Parts: sequence; C-alpha cells; structure tokens
Amino acid sequence: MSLDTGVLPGIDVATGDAADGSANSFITDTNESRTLVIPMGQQWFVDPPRDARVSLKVVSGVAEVFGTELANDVEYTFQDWKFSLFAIEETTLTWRCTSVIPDLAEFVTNRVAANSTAKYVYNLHFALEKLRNSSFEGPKVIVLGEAQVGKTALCRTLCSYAIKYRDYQPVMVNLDPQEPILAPPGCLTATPVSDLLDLQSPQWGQTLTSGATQLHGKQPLVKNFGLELIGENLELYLETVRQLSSGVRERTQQDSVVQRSGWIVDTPASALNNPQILQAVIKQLGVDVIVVLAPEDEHWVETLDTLSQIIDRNSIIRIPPLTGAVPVDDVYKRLLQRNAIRDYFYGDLNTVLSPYMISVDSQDLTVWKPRGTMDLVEHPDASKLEFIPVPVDQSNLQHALVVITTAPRRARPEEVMASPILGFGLITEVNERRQKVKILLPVPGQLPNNALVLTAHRYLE
Amino acid sequence: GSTAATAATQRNIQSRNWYIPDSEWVLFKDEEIVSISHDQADR
Ligand SMILES: Nc1ncnc2c1ncn2[C@@H]1O[C@H](COP(=O)(O)OP(=O)(O)OP(=O)(O)O)[C@@H](O)[C@H]1O
Ligand SMILES: [Mg+2]
Repeated sequence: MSLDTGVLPGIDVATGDAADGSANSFITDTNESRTLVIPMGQQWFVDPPRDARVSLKVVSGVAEVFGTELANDVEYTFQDWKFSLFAIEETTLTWRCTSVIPDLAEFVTNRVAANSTAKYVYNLHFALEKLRNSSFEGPKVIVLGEAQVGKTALCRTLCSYAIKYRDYQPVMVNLDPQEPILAPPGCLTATPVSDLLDLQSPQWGQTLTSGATQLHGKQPLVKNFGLELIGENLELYLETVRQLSSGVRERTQQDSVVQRSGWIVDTPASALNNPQILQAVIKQLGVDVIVVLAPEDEHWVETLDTLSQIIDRNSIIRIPPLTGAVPVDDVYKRLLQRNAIRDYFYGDLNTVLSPYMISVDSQDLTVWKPRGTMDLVEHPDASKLEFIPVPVDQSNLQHALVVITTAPRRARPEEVMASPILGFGLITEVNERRQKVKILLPVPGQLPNNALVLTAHRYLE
Repeated sequence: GSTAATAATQRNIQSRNWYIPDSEWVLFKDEEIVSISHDQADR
C-alpha cells in the first residue's frame, strides 16, 4: 500500500519532532516527515490545507479515525477532509504533507486535545452490544441533534465498533441528503456495513465496482431525493424516506445477521425540531432507540418532552455534543459534495475508475424533476409529489447530475417517481445547435433507454 | 467471478457498477463481495 518511492527526504525522522512541546513555529518543507506523539485519550484534529495531501503512518500505539483502527506501518493519505485521529493508547506516528505548513504549532500542537466524549461513545456502543446479544432483533438506533454536534461522526463510529469484534452487519441508514455517504449528494441511502469502512474517505468508502478494490466495496440501497434541502419539499422527502425504509425493513427480514445487528440512522439537523419529520421517520422506520447529541440544558427538557410523546422515555439516550465536532462552513460542505460526485465517476486516491462518455440526440432524452421551492411558490396548489418535465436545453442541464431510473423512457411521471434507480449520469455538454447532449456514465455502454431525473447538483470538471 | 475481477484491475479499466434492483438488494448477501485485501488474507 505504501507507494512513497523516493519522495521522503533524507531527514532523520526523530529530529523533525513537532509535538515535543517546544512549539516551534517554523515553516515545514513539503513532504518532510515528522514525528508526533499523541497521548492516550487525546486526539489530533487534522485539517489538511486545501488541495494538499496529508499522509501518516502509525509507528506504535493504537489510534482510530471515527472508530476504524489504523494498521501499523501502513501509510494512509487524506485530502479535503477534516477529521480526528484518536489515540486509544499512546500513539507515535510519522506524518508529512504535500504542501507547506506555515505554522506548525497551529497545525499540530494546538490541535491535539483530550477527547472528553469518547467514554460516552464507548458506553453507548456497549449498551447497543448488550441489546444485540440479547435478542434476534438488534437495536434500531436513530441519532438526532442540532447542526454539527457530531451526528454523522457518531454513526460512523458506532458502525465501526459494531463490526470490530463480532460478525455484525449493522445497516447504516443515511437520511440526510446533504451528507454524501457512499453515494453522490442528494440521496438517502441504506448500507449494510459488513467490513471495514475506508478511514481515508470522507464518504466512508466506495461502492462496488467492476473489479476488486483495496477495501471491500459496499452495496447500498440508494434513493434519490434530488433537492438540496429537505424543507424545499417535505412531502417528497418523506416519500423518499418511505421508499428507503420499505427496502431496509425487507432486507432486515431476509438476513438474520443484519437483523441481529440492527440499524444506525443518521439524520439532518432539521429533523430534531420538526415534530412532523420526527414522527414520520421514527414510525416509518420502526426505530426503537433514540440518541440525542445535546447539552443538558432547558432546551433538553423540552426535547425530551417532545420525544417521549413518540417513544418510550427509557428508549431515549442523551450524550453531549462530541469533542472535536467543529462547525463547518457551506464551502466545505460543497467541497465534500463535489468530491463525492467526482468519486462516483472517477474513483478515489486508491481506486481509479474509468467512466464512459457518450453523445446522444436531445430528442432521445426524457427528463423529469421534482417540484422544488421556486416551483411550489409558482404553483401552490400543485401536487408536491408530481414530477414535472424538463426541456432538454443548456440552461436546465449543463453540468447537471441526473438520475438514471429503471422506469422506461415513456413511463408516466408517477411511475418514474416510484422507480428504483440504476445510477447517475453527468451532463457535460448540451449543444443546442446540433441537438446533441454529452453524458458521462459510470458504466461503459449505451445510455439505458430509461427516464432521467434532474437533481439540484452540478459538477464542473 | 474473481478471475475477471483481477484481470480488470490489471488493465485498470475498472468502473463503477449500476445499482442492483431493489428486489435483488433485499436478498443480497454481503459475503459475496470480493476485495483485494480479502483475497490476500484468504491465501
Ligand atoms: N472527534 C470528532 N468527533 C466529531 N466530529 C469531528 C471529530 N473530529 C472532527 N470532526 C468533524 O466535525 C465536523 C462536524 O461533525 P459531523 O459532521 O459529524 O456533525 P453533524 O452533527 O453530522 O453535522 P450536520 O448537522 O452538518 O450533519 C465534521 O467535519 C467532522 O469531520
Ligand atoms: Mg451529519
């Protein structure tokens, strides 16, 4: 796995020590290898400079990234991702970065700190483990909380812990379309986690490809919501949740390992304070454990009150917002979404994929879209679940991510809305004069003769 | 099969798969998934 042929400078690693407390604020050379010791129970919040790669190798000790342990002496590479490296035991590692770090103290020393919430996560994991061990039907856990309290990080950690010591396969259910987990953005997904998650990947890893991959590819059930925010069309969102949950329930019934392992359900922040969403989601999925990441304040009393009207109070667990969960801006979120689209077609740092470009006549495309905010303002009485036709032109489709459904091209819009999806295409060029459209497909071959659905996401290469 | 998979890796023309139909997904067993690390571990 380590491909660092000749890029390491001939510097004695031990002299490059940055975390010895001396806090030298000198500029690093690019790719200079440095050593860092993270004391037990502390974590390094790694924030690679934009476009740069940070590579690191554990020399001794035990460290994990969101619950997935790093192997010793294996080099891991990270790009465009803010994450924490948590030392379960004192960990010595070497690291390097492809770009200059202007302030080492700021990059490393100041960002190593105690993880005071790790114990809550462990305890929660052991509580869930007890439930798994005591029944054929594992816990179906939903994680709620305000924005950026660590909901997604907690789900990821719980999934990783569940498969660490035992043969469980928890289903990771993602109900936040803004969070690209094992899929492009705009989707709700359900993925049995049957093997290691890729700790280098902000999207948790890769889905299956035509060949073998370094890490076990995942097989998600993917439902396209397609709009940016769930508030734009709540009815459509809840319908998408309904479609996903019926699949997850059935898989759970068919697969005794999945059934014993239960589910971990991630949610968008807006779910917590919207009783309509809460009710629908909890009932729809048949969730039986609620975890809320929240401080214990007056607001918590209200939250507990609301939740206990939906589910038994004993099934509600509160833990504090996670140490290390940082507010991230929209620019960063968009970067992750963009990269998720790129990875879907082209693969990631470890698995290079070859997508396939085709050219089709405009008249051979049938494109629909869901009703979003603008459209619902213009047509307040329209059915919110109805898809509307999209004219094939540049303003609508250039650079757009489209869903390739399994519904035939001439199918009625209701049928298109209800149909499972094959995957995504990326419209790279609309030539109106020649009436031609270029589409990037993930899989070589013809464009399936199916209806397409426009998403709110765009990608420029 | 895994022979085809290895050949694809060598030629480096791997691409993503279409998603399987919902009716297959609900019956899918993750044990069927092939990965390099597992191939090596199995030997
Ligand atoms: N140890 C850590 N625990 C939790 N989050 C961490 C940690 N280290 C880094 N982070 C980062 O903090 C940010 C916020 O965490 P996360 O995305 O899990 O919150 P969230 O509640 O899911 O946010 P949102 O409401 O946007 O979905 C992420 O960028 C995450 O990678
Ligand atoms: Mg999240």
